Amino acid sequence: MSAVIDDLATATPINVRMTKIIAAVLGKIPLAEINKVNGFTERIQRMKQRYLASRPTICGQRARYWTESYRATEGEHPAKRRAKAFANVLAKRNILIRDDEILVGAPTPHIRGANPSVEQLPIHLLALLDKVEVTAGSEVTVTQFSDEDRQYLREAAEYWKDKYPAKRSFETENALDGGKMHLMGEARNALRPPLTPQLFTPGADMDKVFALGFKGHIKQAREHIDVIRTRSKASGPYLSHEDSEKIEWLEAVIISLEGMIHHAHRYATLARAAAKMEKDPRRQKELLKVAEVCEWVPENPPRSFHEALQTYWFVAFGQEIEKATTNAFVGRFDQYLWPFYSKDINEGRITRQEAAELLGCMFMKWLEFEPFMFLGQVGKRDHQEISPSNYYANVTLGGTTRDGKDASNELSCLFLQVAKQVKTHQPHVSLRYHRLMAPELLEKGIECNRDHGGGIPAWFSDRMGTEYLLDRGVKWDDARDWAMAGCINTSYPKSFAWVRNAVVSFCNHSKLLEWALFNGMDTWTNKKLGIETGDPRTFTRWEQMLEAYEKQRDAFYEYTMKNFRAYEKSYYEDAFYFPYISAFLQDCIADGKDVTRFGGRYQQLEAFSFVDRGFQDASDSLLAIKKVIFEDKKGTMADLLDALKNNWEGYEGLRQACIAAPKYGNDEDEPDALMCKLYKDATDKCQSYRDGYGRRFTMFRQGAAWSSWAGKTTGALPNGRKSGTHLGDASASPVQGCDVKGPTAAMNSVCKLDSTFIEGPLLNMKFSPASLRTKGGQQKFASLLDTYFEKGGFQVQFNVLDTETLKLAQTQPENHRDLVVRVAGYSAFWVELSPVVQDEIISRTEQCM
Amino acid sequence: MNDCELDLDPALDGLDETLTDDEAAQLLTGRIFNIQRFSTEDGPGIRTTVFLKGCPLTCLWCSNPESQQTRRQLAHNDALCDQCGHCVTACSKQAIELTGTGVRVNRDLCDNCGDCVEVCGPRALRMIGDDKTVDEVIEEVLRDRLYYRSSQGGVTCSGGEPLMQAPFVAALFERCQEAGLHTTLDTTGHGSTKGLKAVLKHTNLVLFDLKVMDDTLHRKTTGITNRQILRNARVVADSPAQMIVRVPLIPGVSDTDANVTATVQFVQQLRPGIVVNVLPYHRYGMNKYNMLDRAYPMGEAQPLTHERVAQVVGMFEAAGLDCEIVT
Ligand code: SF4
Ligand code: SF4
Repeated sequence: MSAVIDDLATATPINVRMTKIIAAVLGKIPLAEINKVNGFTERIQRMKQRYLASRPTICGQRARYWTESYRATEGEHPAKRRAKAFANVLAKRNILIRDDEILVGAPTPHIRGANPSVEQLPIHLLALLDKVEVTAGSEVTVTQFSDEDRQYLREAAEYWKDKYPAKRSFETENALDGGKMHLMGEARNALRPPLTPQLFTPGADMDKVFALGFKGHIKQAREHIDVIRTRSKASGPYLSHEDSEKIEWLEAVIISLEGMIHHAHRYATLARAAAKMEKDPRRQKELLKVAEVCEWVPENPPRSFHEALQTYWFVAFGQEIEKATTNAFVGRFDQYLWPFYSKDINEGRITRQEAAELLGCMFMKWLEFEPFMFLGQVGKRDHQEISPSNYYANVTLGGTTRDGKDASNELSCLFLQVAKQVKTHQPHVSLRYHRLMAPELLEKGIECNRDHGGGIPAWFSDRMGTEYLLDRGVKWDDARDWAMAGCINTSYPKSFAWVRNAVVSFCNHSKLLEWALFNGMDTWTNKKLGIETGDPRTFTRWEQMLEAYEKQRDAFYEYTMKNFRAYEKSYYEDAFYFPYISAFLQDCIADGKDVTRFGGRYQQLEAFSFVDRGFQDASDSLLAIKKVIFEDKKGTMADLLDALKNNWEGYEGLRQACIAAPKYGNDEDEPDALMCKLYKDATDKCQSYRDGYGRRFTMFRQGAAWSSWAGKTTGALPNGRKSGTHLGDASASPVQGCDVKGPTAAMNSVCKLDSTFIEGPLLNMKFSPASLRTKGGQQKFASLLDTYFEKGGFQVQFNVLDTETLKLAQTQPENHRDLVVRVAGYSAFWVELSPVVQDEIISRTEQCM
Repeated sequence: MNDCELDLDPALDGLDETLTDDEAAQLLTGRIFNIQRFSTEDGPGIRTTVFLKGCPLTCLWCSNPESQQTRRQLAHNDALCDQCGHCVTACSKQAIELTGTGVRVNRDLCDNCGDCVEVCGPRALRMIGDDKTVDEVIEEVLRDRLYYRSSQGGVTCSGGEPLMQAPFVAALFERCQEAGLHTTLDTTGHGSTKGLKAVLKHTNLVLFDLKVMDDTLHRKTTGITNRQILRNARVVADSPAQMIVRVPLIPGVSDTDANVTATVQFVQQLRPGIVVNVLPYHRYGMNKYNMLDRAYPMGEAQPLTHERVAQVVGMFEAAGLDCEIVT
C-alpha cells in the first residue's frame, strides 16, 4: 500500500537514549476533596481587586539606598559592594503589610511597583526621567512615578552615569561596525537589547534552602572561608589572588543572607506592632502568626507549609531586589513544597482549604512582580508592547522524580485548582506530561485549560525536557529535575541563572529572505544590510533563490559571530556579582564563585543563545516562489518583486496564486519538508560554532508576541503576506490562518521538525470551551496530547477562548479587565495588549473540537 | 424512480473492463465536500470524517446545505469579503453583484465555473466539492492513525448521503479496515440496499438517522418517502455492525410525543441493545444558506428547551433504551 505513511519514521529523531519512567503514584490523589476547595476566597478576591485597581509604578527606593551604600564603599571588592548595597536597601527601604496579607514582603511598597536597575543603564534612566510619563507602545500601560521617586532616581542615575560597569560593552556594541549592528537592530533582525550584562531567570536549590535555612548557608560559607585560610596558612603568609577573591565573595554571600534575615525580622516587628493596634481578634491572630513565621524563616529551616511558602518568597523577591531583570524561575514548586504540605495535611495541622488560601496568597505575591526593562533605543519601549506587566514567573508541575518515578502529587492538583480559580496572568504554569502521570493530574490540567482560559497550564513533554538537558551534559538525576524558565527555556532550576544578557543574535528568517529578494537591500531602513546574492530576476532555477537565502543566512551568522567575539570577553568581565542569587545555586558556595564568574554546576547551560524566528513565512514564501513563478509560471520574478515593492497593490491575482500555494502546518509533505530543512540547517549552522570557553551555543526559538512586533519592519512576502502585518507566531506554529486542517494536522507538521537542540519550539492552539465540557471531550483532548508527545512534540499550549469573547473584549475593555490571554509562551491581561496583538490572537485559526 | 430499487453507482461508469477489482477500487473517485480531521462527534474517539457531496433528501433543517447537490457549487463567505469587486469583473455571466456587506450570486446565471474564485483575495469565495480517489483519501486518513490508536477512533463517512457513492465508500472502508482502522457510516438510510450491503461488509458502526416516522410528514419535510429508510434500518440491524440510531429533534416535526413514541416502537423491534442519540435542532447552518444564496428554510424556528430535550430522553429511557444527547 503505497499511501501508508510511517508516522513514526517522520517523528522527531531521538539522539539520546529514551528516559524510562516508573509508574508509581504514591497514594491516590483525593481529587474529589480538591475539587471542593476554593482558592479564590473573599480574602483573595479583595486582594485581586486591589491589584486590578492599581497601576504600574516606578519605585525609587532601591536606587536610592543602593547608591547610598555605593558612595560609602568606594574601593572595596565589587562583590562586597553589591552585597552591602543589597543589605542597605533591605535595612532601610519602606516596608508594609497590606490588609488581608498572610504572606508578606514585596519588591517595592507598591502593589505594582517596578525597581529600575539604576546601576545598569543610568543614561537610559535619565532620558526617561525627563519625560512626563512613560507611555508604552500600546498606549494602555502608563507607568507613573511620584516626584519623590523621580528625585531618588535622578540622584542615583547621576552618580552612576559615568561609572556604570556596563559602559564598556554598551559603547562597544553601539560602535560596532560603524553602527551597522545598531541599524540591524532597527530593522528588527539582529536586534538585541542593549548589550549590557544583566541577569535573568534566577533559579534556586529550594530543597537545600528548606533543609538548611539561610543560617545553614552562612555556616557553609564560613566553613569554606576557614578551610581556605587554614590551607593558605599552611602554604605561606599570603593569600593567593584566587583565595582572596573567594573569601571576599563568600563574605559577600554572608552579608547578603544576613541582610535578608534582618529584613524578615523587620517584617516580624512590624507585624507585632500592627497586631497590637488591631481591633479585630481574627486579624490580630493572623498578624501574630506572620510575626512568628518571619522570626523563624528564612533564617531557620521551615517547619510548616506556611513557613516554606514564606521562605520561598523571601528568596524570590530578594532575587528581584538584587536585580534579576525579569523571569522568576520558580522551578518545581509541587516537588519541593510537597514534604511540607503532606506532613501538615497528614498531621492535621492544616486543611486543604487553608492550604488553598495560602496558595491564593502566593498567586497575589507573584502578581506583584512588575518588570522594568530597557530594550532597544531610548524612548522606544517596544518591549512593553510585547509583554506588558509580565515578569515571566514560571512554575513547573508534574513530571518525574529524580529517581524516575511519576512525580504527580496532590499539591500539583491543588495548585491547578487554585490557578483556575484565581485566574491571574502570572505565574506561567508548565505541566510536564508523560504517559504514566497520575490520571487525576491529567484531568486537572485539562480542566484548568478550560476554566482558566488563558492557556494555563502549558503542556511539555517530560521525556524531551530530560533529554535536552542530557544532551547538554547534565547528569541523569539532575536532568530529570528540569523545569521551565522564563518564556520557554528548558533548564535546571537548582543551578541556573541566565547571566549576562546572553544572546548572540535575534534572527528573523523572513527578513533574510527579504534581503535575498532585493539583493541585500533592507526594505525598512533602505540600507544594504544583507550581502549581495544576485538579482533574483536573473535566476533561472528556483534553487538559486533558495541558495540566495542560505547565503544571506550564513553571512548573517558569520557577521553576528564576529561581533560577538569582539564583545564576549568584556561581557564576562563587566558582569555584576550576584552573591545573594548565587548563594542558592548548587556548587557556588562550595566553589566560592559567583554564578556570573563560572560558579554553578552546569556552565554549559549558561552559554549564549542564538534566537531564530520567522521560519514559517520564509519557508512558505520560498515554496510559493517555486510553485507560482518557476513551476506554474503565473508571473515572472520581476512581477513578483514589483508586487512586493507595491505591497501587492495591483497584483491581486498573483497574490492569490501565492496564497493558494501549499503552506506549512497542514501535514503536507512538500511545505513541511522545506520548513524542516530551513529549521534544521539554521540549527546545524549555529551548533557548529563554539564560544570563547569552548561551549556550544544554546538555541531559543520562542515567540512571545515577537511576530507582530518584528512583522512591522518586514516588507511584503511572497507567501501573500502584506507589509507590516504579523509574522508566523512562535517558532513552530503554522502561520495564522494557514493551518486549515485542524489540530492533528498542525501537530503532525510541528512534530516533523527536528527540535533536539532547541529550547522552545512552541505550538499554540485555540479551542472553544464547549469542546472540553464533557468527559468524552476531555478524553479526546487527552488522547490528542498523548499522541502529540508520542510523536515527538515538545510543547503545546491551548487557548480555550471563543473569538466572540475576544472581539467583545476589544470594544469593551472596561468590562474585561480580568480577561487573561496568552500570547506565545506568556500570559497578559487582554486589555493591556495593543490592538495589533489582539487582532493577531483573534485571527489565529480557531480549532474547533 | 423506484425508491426501493435505487441503484446509484455513477462512479463506476466508464471504468475499463480489463481492470482488476482492486485496481478499479483504487481508481474510484468520490465527490467530497470536506475531509475533517480531528472530528470528535461522529463516532468514538478522534476520527477523520469524510463528507460526501450529494443527498437524495432535502430536509428543511439541514445544517450542511452545501452537501445536498452532487455538483460542485460556488459559495461565498461575506464575513471575509472586502468589497473589492474583482469577482464582479471576472464573471463573464454577470452573475455576481456587491451588496455592501458581501456579494449576491444570481444562481440562475451562475454555472459554477469558478472564475471568480481565482480573483478573490480574502478567500471569501470558494468552490465546494472535490473529486478524490480512494488512494488520495486514504493517504490523508492514515496521517492521523496514531491519534486514532490512542483514542480508539477511526474513520467516518458522512454527508450528504454516503450511500449515493456506495462503491467508493465500500472501497474506502475496505482499505481502512485493512489498515486496522475503525469505520463508521453516518447515513440517512436512503440508498440502494445492494450498495448498503456492500458498505456494511467493511463497517464497524452505523449511525443511522431516523427522522420522522409518519411517511406523509417525512415526505413533506425531507422531500422523500421513508419506506426505503425503514427497510434499510432492518438490514443494518441484521448485520454484524454496531448500530446507533440518531434522532434529530426538530421542533414541531420530530420532537412530538407521537413521533418519539413511534420511533421507540420501531427501534425496539430492530434488535436489542440499540443506543439512541438525540440531536437537538441548532441553527449553526443558517449562515451557510446565505453563502449559497438560499433562504433559511427553518425561518425563525427556535431550538428546543433543555426541559423538552430531557423529556424526550426520558421517553426513550422509559422504554428501556440507552439514550444520549449529542450536540
Ligand atoms: S462561478 Fe463562474 S458563473 Fe458563477 S459567479 Fe463565479 S464566475 Fe460567475
Ligand atoms: S472578489 Fe471576494 S472580496 Fe472581492 S468582492 Fe468578490 S467576494 Fe468580495
